[in-house]
Amino acid sequence: MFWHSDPMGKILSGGFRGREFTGILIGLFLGILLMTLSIEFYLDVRSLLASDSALDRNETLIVAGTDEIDSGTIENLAKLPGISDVGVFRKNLFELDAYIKLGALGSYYTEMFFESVPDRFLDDIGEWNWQENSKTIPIIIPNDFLTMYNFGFAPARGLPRITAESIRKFPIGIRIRNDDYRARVTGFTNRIQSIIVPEDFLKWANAKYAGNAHDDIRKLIVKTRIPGDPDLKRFLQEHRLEIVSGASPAAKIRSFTGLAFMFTGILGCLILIMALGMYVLSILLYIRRSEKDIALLSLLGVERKKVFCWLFRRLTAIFSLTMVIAFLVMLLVQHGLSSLLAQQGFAGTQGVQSVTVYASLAVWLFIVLLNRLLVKRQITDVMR
Amino acid sequence: MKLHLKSLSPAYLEPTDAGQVWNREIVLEPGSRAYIYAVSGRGKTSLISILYGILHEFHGTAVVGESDILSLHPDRWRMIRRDTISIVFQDLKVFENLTARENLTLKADLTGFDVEQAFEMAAELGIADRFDRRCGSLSLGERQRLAIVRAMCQPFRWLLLDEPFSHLDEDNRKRAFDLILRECDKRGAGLIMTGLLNTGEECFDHVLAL
Repeated sequence: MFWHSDPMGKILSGGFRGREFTGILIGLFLGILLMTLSIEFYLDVRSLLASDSALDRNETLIVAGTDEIDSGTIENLAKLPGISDVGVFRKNLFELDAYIKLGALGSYYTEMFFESVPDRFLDDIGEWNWQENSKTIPIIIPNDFLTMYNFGFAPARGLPRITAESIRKFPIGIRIRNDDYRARVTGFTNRIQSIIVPEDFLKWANAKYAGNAHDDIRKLIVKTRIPGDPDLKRFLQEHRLEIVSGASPAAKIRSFTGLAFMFTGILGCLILIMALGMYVLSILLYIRRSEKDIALLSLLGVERKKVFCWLFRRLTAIFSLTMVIAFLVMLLVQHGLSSLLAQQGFAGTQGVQSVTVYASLAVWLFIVLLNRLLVKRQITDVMR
Repeated sequence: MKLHLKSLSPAYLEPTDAGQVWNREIVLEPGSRAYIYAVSGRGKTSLISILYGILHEFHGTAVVGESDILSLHPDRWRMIRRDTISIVFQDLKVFENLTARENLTLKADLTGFDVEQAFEMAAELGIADRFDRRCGSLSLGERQRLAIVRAMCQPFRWLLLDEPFSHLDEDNRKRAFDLILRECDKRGAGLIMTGLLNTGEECFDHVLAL
């Protein structure tokens, strides 16, 4: 039998208490399971969110103040450790109107405003090129505008709904002073609640129609690598700025799930550490219970190495088996989750992440070495 | 391999305390037989323990072959206990959770001794029908006979016997002693035996009062 096949095995297993050990092995099992599962889920969710093109690793925030923001403040903001990029919002310094001619249904005029941000902050920008003196201006509008029109304005006025595709072909007239332009919707954004035109156009138009009047910067676009960055919060408070929009839901989800899995991982590690502590104690107790018999083996001439190998091999085999079971259960859970996600239409990750395997191997190796050290010390002490 | 004791005495005795062994120079030649007797408390077990490398607190020196007993590493001692010096402890020290058979098998496996021969010796001492009983349930006399057989299950140059017949009747004592002498002769081994009284055995080269 595995445990005591010979008289020496019978002696050395004499101090072993199955119930005591089972509890500790369950602790080890749970610790390892929680640790590997949290790593696996964290990586899975991260790759799942990253595979969505609309999401960026960075969180984009829009920051505004009531006073003009000077260039020194902007430079200092850009120097904060969590900030990866800062851009300024420019606005039109001239009056402009927009109009839509709907044939027999009449024309709609409205006063309008434009803003611009550096091109690098925009996603889904389509054909964004603007040539000087061109009469066509590419614009980006918030997704919410289309929703408001389709579900608010159009039903109230008996107008047809428009799709994102059809609005791209919609003729929107822009009148600045007496010049007529055509605005063409090239994209939609969730990040910026404004009507965005190319920065080059706005600079050119401000020079032409406002005679280079002073544009007081009151709004910034900021990319941060750390969601809820405390340094940024402090900086904004000191400069009387506030976040007017940003923190995309995905970024919030990502930071929340990250935290949740980190918490689970820490819990797993704590259970693992506690179980390891108990494991160490129980090995000490186990060997001490057999102390008299082990000392007698020494008196009969049994080598230390023989006793050490007997104990070390069996203890290693027992917890290795526990780890393998924990790993298999983790695989089952992970597989189950992947299938569930696949049913929901998410492209779940396939197989186990290598980080999980490395982490498990590291824990395994640590316990092997711990075992070796413990058993060796105890045996050396008892078999002086 | 001779045993050489020079001014030896356990740490708990006065260095001036002298019988025929303590604080004397004694040389025991290979294959010689010594009987050492004393009343309780004179250090019979201490002498055996010093010679078996268990007791390290003593004055003087004890040399086994060419080596000072205190200079030998524990690993070397374990080797000596497998093939050079065998012992019957006064308190027997059998594994009480093992059966008599398992006690002998364990020793035979350790020293490469023929286990069948071990069982034959056990039968000779009349404990064959107790083989599969846990040692904890055997009588002291049965355990003592088992300890004697166990001591025979190895090669040795010296056999140390610490009051080996204390729990045996005359008949069993004689059978056990015959077995011991026969096994010592087979190996050309020396013998050191302790006891309470001078029994006047003629087979000893040295009879010393401790």
